[in-house]
Amino acid sequence: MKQLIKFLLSNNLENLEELKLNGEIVVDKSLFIDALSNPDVIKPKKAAATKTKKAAAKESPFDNEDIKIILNNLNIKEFNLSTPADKVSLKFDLSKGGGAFESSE
Amino acid sequence: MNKELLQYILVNDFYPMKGSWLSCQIPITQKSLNFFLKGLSSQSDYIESIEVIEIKEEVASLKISIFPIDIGLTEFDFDKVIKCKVLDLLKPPDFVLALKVVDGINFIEAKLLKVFINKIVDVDGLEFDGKVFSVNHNKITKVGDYDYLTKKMANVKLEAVGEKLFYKFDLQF
Repeated sequence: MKQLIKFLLSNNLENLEELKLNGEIVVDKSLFIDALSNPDVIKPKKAAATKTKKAAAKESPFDNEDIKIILNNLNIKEFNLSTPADKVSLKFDLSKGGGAFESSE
Repeated sequence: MNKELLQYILVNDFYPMKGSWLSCQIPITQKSLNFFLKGLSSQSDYIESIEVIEIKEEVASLKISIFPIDIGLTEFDFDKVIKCKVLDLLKPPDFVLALKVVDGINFIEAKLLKVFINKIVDVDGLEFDGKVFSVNHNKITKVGDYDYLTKKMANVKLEAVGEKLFYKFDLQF
């Protein structure tokens, strides 16, 4: 996966011309606050933690340099954090060149 | 998103982010296809190289070079450009790249290539049935390690827009 990400980010994302990515991540507000203020509350039990060890180990495929390349080369049309009702919502709409995004949602 | 929150979401099979969604359109370039193909030649002593040299609409021109092989009275030698239509592209869970040969090899070459790829090269995940090459990335890469995420993929499709190819999918939680 790391290799794939390095490939995609190479030469200022030249292989991602006309990439379009949009979506919305929604989580419970209480869960989000717990994660920020008291992570122990949501730490998985030992067995569950082992089960997801592999997944969690891959949680940060981007280093600081990768993030710099992404920010320098992607058009960020929307990156909006809001708190509707009891949720925390992050809406985003990113692209690399190209025209309007047509979502299948 | 902090580490604990991500772990909690994964342990609970993304239920804490139910209702979240993501739509993605990824351009498929010649270089991208070659990135996925490059592992093949290194896995076999017989394949010198496999390379996509052009993509036009849904047809990819593939240059295949095979080291000469002694097959008794003569040698099987293959170094050609063949044209293939992209039939299937990286759909979960197997993420197969399927390319149907539309030009570049005759009947006899197709038969020999079938025996060569399936019996001699014998790379688990690479097959040729005489018409269609298929590369199963679930077998030749570690994409299966990400099934907790790829099983959320929906509406996976390949679209040709002019001379460009796009891989589109949604993630629905």
